[in-house]
Amino acid sequence: MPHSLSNLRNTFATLFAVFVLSSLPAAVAADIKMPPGLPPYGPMRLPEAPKVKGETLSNGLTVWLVQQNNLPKAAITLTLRGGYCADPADARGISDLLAATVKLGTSSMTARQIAERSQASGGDLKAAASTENLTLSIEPLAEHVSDAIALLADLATHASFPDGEVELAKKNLLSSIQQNESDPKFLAQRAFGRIHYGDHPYGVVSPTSAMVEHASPESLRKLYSDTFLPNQAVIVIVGAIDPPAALGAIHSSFDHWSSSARAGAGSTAAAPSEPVSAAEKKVFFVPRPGSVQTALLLGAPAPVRTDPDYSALEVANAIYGGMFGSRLTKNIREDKGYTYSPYSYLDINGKAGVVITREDVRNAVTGPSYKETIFELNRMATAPVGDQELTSAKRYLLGTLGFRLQSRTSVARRLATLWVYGLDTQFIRKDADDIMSATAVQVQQASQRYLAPDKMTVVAVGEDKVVHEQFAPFSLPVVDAPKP
Amino acid sequence: MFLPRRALLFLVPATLLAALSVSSACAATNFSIPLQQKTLPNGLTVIVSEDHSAPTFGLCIAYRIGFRLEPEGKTGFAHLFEHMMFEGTPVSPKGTMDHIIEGGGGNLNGDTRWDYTEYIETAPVSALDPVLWLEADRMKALDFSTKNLDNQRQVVEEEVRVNVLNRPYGLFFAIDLPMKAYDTYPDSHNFYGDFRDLDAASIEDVRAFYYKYYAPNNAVMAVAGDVKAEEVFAKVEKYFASVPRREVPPLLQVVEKEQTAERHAVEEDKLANLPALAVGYRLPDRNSKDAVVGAVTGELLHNGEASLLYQHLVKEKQVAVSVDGGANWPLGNPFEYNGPTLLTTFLVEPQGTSAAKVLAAYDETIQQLATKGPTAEQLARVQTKMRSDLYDEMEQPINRASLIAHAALFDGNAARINTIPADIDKITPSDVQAFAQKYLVPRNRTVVERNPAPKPPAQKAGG
Repeated sequence: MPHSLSNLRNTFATLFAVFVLSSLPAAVAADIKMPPGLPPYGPMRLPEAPKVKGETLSNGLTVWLVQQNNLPKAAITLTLRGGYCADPADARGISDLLAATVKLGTSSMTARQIAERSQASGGDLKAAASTENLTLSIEPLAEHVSDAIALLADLATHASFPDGEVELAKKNLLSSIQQNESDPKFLAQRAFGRIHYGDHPYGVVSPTSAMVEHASPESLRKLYSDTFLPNQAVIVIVGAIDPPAALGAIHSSFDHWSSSARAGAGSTAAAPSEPVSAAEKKVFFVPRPGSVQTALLLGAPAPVRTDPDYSALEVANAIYGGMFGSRLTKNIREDKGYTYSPYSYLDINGKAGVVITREDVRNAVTGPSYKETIFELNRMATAPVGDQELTSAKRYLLGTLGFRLQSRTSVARRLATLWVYGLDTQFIRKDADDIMSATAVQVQQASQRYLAPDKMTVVAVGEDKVVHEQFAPFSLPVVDAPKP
Repeated sequence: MFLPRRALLFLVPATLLAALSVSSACAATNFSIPLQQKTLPNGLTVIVSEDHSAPTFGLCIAYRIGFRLEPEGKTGFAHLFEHMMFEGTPVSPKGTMDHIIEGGGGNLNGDTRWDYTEYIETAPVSALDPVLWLEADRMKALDFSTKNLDNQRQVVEEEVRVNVLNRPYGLFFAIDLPMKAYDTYPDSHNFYGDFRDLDAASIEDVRAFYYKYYAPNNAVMAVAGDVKAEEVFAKVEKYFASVPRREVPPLLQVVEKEQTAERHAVEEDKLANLPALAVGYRLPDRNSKDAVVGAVTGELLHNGEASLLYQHLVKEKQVAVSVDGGANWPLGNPFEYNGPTLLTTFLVEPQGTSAAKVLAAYDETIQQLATKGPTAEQLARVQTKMRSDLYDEMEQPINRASLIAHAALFDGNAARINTIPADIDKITPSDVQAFAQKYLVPRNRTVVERNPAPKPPAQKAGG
């Protein structure tokens, strides 16, 4: 398909109450002329904010429930502060192995019984670690919600890490790391994380093979007991539930979960120091012999969600590379045909974020693609955006946020993310308002601060000879990216 | 992306409600989505599914044209053509449609598959009129610009590079496997396209293909979401009534020779680090009762970590690190095809095993099904899971519209999506056992091994 819905996948969708935009005629055109006869848009109305019923259990577990009744399903997530940031300093990323093994046995169930119980509820039990949290999730049929809650509680309180299961999970995670080594996107992201964040855990995208080899059932049990603490966790359920009944099920499954003496662990990391790499003006190269495309990544620091620049940068990102009608896509895809799916996105953690451009371009146009990308970044930073593209980007962002609010899984995940960062619904409402009120001047200021070409760390993954030759005309030294 | 937007799906009703349910929904087993249908005088079928839970809608127009109908010498053309549907019309030049839909708060996309090509949008309901107007506009004429064709040819070739030529495994389980499994051109060509065929495509080809297949009487449109059916019918009448009905060629009846022996191929992969294997069994005709059994069997074998193949190959024998697959996988669900298709498995092996060992373990799982069938409990669990997966597919209006349009396109009956659960619920363990005995046999399958090529020494820079 020609368009990738994943273009905006990493923008941060929000929650907001009914939000009525004025009825604009479709023909607000400046550069793009509206076709004769096109009917106008009606007044745009966005979905209401999910009504969250919150409660905290006596052991500190936060409970957030949202009733959404149009389908007999629910999304449940149990999210814990932790993840790579809370991993031991010599094993950043090892939470991936904790996630892979936590569902492989409890004091009363085998791995197979857990998988079968999950399937019988209509759900796929998933466990995943990321930079600042670890999440267990499942989407059961409505009539099996209490059973799914009990299943999650059993994993959270009685995981057993059997020797044989841990051994096999280690082997399979090593295989998966080996597979990642052939994936250009993974190689680009890993190199960028290392260069941009240095040793800070925000730069970690995966454990190393050595870390996985060194892990043991004992080390996993320790990490588990440090991470799975009720006062460091939130359970979010979104779907066809009766909230009092769901709360009752949560009480009966989770009340016995006690906070150990380690309560308070799993805190998020300190803010990373300013990256210095961008000022160095070079291209970081990752070899991938046999590549017929170069995977390019350009990344720079971006503000956290509470920063006054944040919403203006969201709008700037949409105009630059975040939507199909963006400048980058128009230029290097729809005009020049260099690439299939270029995109840019914001990737924001609790104390720092980045704005990333990604494109896979055929070998012979690696240099020209880089040149056009820099041209578009520079244009964002040095000239105001037009009225038409500004209006369009704002409406696109709000519409897309509304679209995501229709997914139970997406709402549950976003609520959990808010909780991890200590943010509340009020903040989110402000974010939606800020998108609509962002002016061309604010968008340009944000672009100057965060999208200017001289802020960018550049990574190229591909054929050695191709990358060196293609960057030669730019007088940019091509240096090997640091080893992972 | 051009591979499926979604994973598998499908259904089954009638599990017991727990006595102490936390569900507030009415009996889940009675859940079905409302459908209202109308056909315009020009033959365009329109189906509306109202859901007023959020002020948005999803829309899908599916045309009865896919890879299978691509002429010889024009591999990849149906998909290249799909790109041209986004390249403007005489009244709405390239870029206008993207701008209007995104600027209305929406998203748009397209997919090409073996038996259909679909165009999909989702947006706040405030953009319904402009979206319908734009779809009607591109059903009347295209811009037919050589410049835009040249541009999209390049874009599609980059798409093939990113998804096939520069990617480990290169979708061999979706492209190479059916090419080996079938003998006739329609079923066994490279649907993404040989570059020489893509390069040879002309604007005259685009024009001819458009007027041959992109007629209102060769399409189904579904709208799901916060809309009133009568209002949608009136709007569709207003915007589409002037699109003329056209003569459409009858659907191709492809007859494959019966397979008489197992087929086997071995390929090298210059990018992958671990060996992989794909297995494809030819499935029965989609309208047969056996096809439904095939769908259920596919999920028994592949759906999640409780599946038979995951448990046996990954956990017990440890000859695979991942297993995926199903009926008509990965280019659709078990009901979205209109000609021959496979029950496919794709698995990645750990270093140091052999394809023979993997296949031996694979055959043990199949043998178990053929000699004993699944247990009643295994089957019931999978039926529950398929129903739950179907509801996931119905959640977002854009996906719901797609599901409805496909059912109407292939069955002439959108309500099929509400009745398939009952069909699946009828399947018994002995049905699965009989299916395994009849279809899951070596002479009905194709195996493609994909092994990492010896790595060339890293080149030195600087020449």
